[in-house]
Amino acid sequence: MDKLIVSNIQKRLGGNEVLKAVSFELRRGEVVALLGPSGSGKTTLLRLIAGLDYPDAGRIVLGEKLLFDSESGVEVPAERRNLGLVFQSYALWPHRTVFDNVAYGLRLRRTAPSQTRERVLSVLGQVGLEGLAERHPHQLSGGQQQRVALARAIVYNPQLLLLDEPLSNLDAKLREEARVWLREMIEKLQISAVCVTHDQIEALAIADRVLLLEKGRIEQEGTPQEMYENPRTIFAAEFMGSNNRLTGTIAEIRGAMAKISGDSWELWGQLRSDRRDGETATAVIRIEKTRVRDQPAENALAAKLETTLYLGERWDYLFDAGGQRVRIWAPTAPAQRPYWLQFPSESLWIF
Amino acid sequence: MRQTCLFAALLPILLITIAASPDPKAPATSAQIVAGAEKEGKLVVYSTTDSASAAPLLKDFGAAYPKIALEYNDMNSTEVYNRFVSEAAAGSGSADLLWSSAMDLQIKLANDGYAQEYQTPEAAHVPSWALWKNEAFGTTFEPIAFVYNKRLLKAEEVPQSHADLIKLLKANPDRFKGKVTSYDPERSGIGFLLITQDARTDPAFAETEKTYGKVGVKLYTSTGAMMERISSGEHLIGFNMIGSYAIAKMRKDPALGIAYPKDYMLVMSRVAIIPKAAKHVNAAKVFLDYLLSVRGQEIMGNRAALFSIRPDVQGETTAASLTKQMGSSLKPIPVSPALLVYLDQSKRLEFLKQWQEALGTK
Amino acid sequence: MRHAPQWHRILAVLITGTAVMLPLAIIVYQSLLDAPFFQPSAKLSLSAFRFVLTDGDFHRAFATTAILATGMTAVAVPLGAILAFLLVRTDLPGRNWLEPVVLIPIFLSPVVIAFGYVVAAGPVGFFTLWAKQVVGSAPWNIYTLLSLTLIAGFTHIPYVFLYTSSALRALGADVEEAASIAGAGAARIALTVSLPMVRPAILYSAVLVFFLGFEIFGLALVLGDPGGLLVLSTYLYKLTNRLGVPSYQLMAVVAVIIIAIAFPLVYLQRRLMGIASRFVTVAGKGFAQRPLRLGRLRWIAFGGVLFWLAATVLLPLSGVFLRAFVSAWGEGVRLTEVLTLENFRELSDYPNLVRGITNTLGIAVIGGALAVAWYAIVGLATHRWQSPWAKVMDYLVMVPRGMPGLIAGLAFLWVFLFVKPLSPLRSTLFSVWLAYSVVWLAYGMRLISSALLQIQPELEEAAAIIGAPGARVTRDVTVPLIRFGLLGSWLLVFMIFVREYSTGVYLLGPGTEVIGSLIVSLWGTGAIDIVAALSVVNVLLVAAGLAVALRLGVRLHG
Repeated sequence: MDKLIVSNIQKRLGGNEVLKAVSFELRRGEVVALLGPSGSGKTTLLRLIAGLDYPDAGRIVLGEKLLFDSESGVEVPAERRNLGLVFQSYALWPHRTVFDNVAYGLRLRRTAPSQTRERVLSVLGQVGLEGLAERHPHQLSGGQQQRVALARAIVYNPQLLLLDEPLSNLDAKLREEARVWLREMIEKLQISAVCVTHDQIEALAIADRVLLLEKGRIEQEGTPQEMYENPRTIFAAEFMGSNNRLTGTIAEIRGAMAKISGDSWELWGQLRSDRRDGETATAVIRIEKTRVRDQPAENALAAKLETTLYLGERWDYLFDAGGQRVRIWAPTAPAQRPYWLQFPSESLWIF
Repeated sequence: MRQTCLFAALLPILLITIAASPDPKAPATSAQIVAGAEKEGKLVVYSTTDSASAAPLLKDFGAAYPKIALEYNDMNSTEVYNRFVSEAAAGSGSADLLWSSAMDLQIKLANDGYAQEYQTPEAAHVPSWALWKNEAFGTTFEPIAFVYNKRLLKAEEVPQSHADLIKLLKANPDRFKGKVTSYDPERSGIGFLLITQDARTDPAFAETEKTYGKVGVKLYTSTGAMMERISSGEHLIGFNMIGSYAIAKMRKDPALGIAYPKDYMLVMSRVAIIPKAAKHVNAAKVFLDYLLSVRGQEIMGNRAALFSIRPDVQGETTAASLTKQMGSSLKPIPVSPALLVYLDQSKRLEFLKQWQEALGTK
Repeated sequence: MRHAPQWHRILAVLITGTAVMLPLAIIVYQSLLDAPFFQPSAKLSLSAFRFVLTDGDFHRAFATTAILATGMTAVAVPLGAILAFLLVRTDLPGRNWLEPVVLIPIFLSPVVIAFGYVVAAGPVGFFTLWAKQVVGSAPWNIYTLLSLTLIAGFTHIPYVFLYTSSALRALGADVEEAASIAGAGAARIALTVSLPMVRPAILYSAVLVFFLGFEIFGLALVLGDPGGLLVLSTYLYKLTNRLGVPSYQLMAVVAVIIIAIAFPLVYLQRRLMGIASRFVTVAGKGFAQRPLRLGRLRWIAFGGVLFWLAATVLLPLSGVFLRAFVSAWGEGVRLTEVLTLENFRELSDYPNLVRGITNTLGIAVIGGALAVAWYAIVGLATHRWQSPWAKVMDYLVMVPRGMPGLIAGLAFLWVFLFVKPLSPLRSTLFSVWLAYSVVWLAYGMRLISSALLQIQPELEEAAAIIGAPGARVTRDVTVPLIRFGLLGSWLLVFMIFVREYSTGVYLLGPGTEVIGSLIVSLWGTGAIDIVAALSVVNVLLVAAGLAVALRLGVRLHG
């Protein structure tokens, strides 16, 4: 396929406008993450692409095939779109073996039994489940079930793979491994994919491009790096990464920089919105960019250490700086000494 | 030698004569009709006589006329009426003969023009009150009697007349409270028929009604419910009970006893009519003749425990034996339009109202 | 999931709708006339409604029926639900053989059950007489409204049991295990977790049982008559004779009134059910269910169940069995003197007995399977179908059961007589089958539709995405997942068809007689002893059939 073009999709569900004119494109071999909090419309969008429901308005084109067009009334049902979908719950059929679950798509396409067998076993091998073909889903672990769901979705070489929160049902440890495995698998298969997730780390890890959705609209779109390092709205900034947040008032504006001040503090940062002199604003900075100093520094605030948390790989320090709560990640245990927290102005975003 | 030769010569003639002479018991149906019936080959009967009781009759009919396939549907009297009337209205296939104990409904069907006329050759042997216009034919002579529990009612207590029964109930109100039973005239067609006949025949009917009310008579719609309760002792005695059912049950159940009231005894008859629209008319005529023939009536009078109506038939359960026993106390219910009086709604409701008032239930 | 306009769904709905509306339309039309509708002189009139609505007997009957229906629902639903929980979710001893026994009241004719109670616990019943002897008094009276309500409740427990147990079987074990861990014992789990989670099943069976209360006939006839109790169906019976000639318009009015009750009932039920998807529990992962341990309650519960069994099944059954083996019973009778096999001998002589039994089993087994197939098609047609058609079906399917047996029989006779294209089928078994299947539509369908509701939509969507068109999704995913619902439905329908009679009474004939018609025929002559013998044969046959089926692996649960 060449492109998935989704343009101006609108959808109402139960009186709410769940998607308000969403558009994006996907190139061959690309992996796009639809990222957003619950209620953002990302799963709805995925289901509309899958054909499980139809938009109220808009257009969906996959390669040369028009899947949906509200103007000309074209509505291709799900079974004719030749896509693959991995459900959040995996939706494996409990009354069929792993083999039969995976083979179903090939049998529908009237593949010869010998070829079916070959393909199914090969795909099972690819996902690392050789030997489990005759088990039933309830005999597998969560991770294994996920792989079966994936195998079932790709065995008939769909043009596009859709994944609905593929990792959310796995426990934390497994999730990390699965993240890697999933990305490798998708690259190996050279398949285009749209992946829905609420976990920004997952989106950053798996996708080539991230679409951040909020309340039915695309907030920002870009590569993982762009999304992380260059958020254009406060929502985008706060959704990606772990942040520190300071509220205050704009005291001065100098070109692209602005000074934000509170009761007893003031800091310089990058102005990323159209806030004007005197307006309240929020300053956001990634936690890892916030620096701990043992003496006053440029763009720094005096801080009092309130609590520390030991997390194994690091320590979490919680500070009170100028009446605001600030978090720091530190490699070592805290020491009793005066603290200053530095907020480098190129990393402090003011919205 | 000469005598033997004469005998030998006469013997074949004798035998042929015997063989050729008509069986006096067989139905006197004309040969033409019989031939027509055999060509028709089938007969559909709707009847209220249950298959078990009718079985000996049906078997014998099959032996007498093997070429006529008999389709015998037994159902209750309301069902016979409903089914026939609906099918007739739809112009669809229905029964060739209706044989029902609901005398009034049968007369109504005949009166409404559903029945066809047939001069049955057996008519001469059936009492005139049982025939109406050669359209409706009474075929049985069934006593309406008292049925009682032999264990709980001493032989000398058993009432021998209606007056006796009332005297007994009045004398022992507590003993008989809730222990007397009969058909409910409101819900049972036969019950209504019998009570209205009582009203006509019993000189002390008003008193009778009140007495029933005082002992809290229990009224049902099914023979089974009543007889079972009399047999078990839940009830002691029932009046206006259909004799044929009681006698059939008595053959197996030692607890039941039957008493024929001597002051007057109602007699009911199962009425047969041949619908005008009958598809197998000749077969129906053959069956009707069979029912009224000596052959058929003998079976009714003996094996089948239905009471035969022909005076010339002898047996256990026959009109002849009853007449000998009861004489003029027998009050047969005539097969006549008099039965239609109470099919008039307002008259019927009026009677029921006075009945319920007398019983003290309204 | 979106579907293209599905013509086969609409077709299924239309055919079913027609089958339901035909008898209904005739009845409604008849109620608005002043004479039988096939009489040319019949005119439109409200006189029938006026007569019935101003009839004191009707008010009496309606009030009694309403009390009866409410009371029996109040009895049947809690007991049935608890019984279902005990037999399905716990380690109650003997739960394997208890299950078929619990179902006995469904396939016994209500008239026979009622008489069983009379023989056992009536004024001169053997149990009553024994109690009088031993304890000095037998303070119960089975001819009161209270007794009738209790007995009606008891005999309808199996319905609630079937619906609730099939829903309980599909429950995931995790919710109960969570409560167990938190410290809840089996009783608390039942009341606070399991049963609330099958609320739709319980609610629906409450509605169905309540509705059945309006058409109760046999029980009321035998147990109500002596005490002068009148219910709507025996009032109907009264109407057939009170005016001399059966007056169809009055009967139709009563039927219309009962049918009208279906509408608020279904509406109420829909409101109470809420969103069906809240109760989706059959997901892709199926964890094996372990029975809950009853602990100390185990034998108490068992005792309780046995006691319940004794009162509701053993008592009437023993009455029936006893009656079959004695020549007389009651006051002054010594049982040892009257034992006999004569009744069975007479039964075996009864004409057409064997044919009647085989016909009954044939209609019940094959006809039942065909009916379930039809119900499945309708259930699948309305499955996940967002359309006003589907809502209409909810109301439509309940309506036929609103016709009491007395008038249902007439209605179907008229359908096959006056709807000309159907006439040739009148004397075939098809007409009987159709009548039975239509009347019990709501009841048979319920087990199937609740099984359908519990399928997680994603299992079907997965098949669609992979490329399966609608019919294949149904065949490959939906139907296999509801197979136990289908089986349960077939079992229920089988039992109902075994004892059904009045609905097809005008469509039966020689050659197609069934056990029900044999019973009625025998009853008419007072041969209750033979009826008892026949019922004994009936029970043994069906129980044996059930046992064989269960042994052969027809499992009622996964």
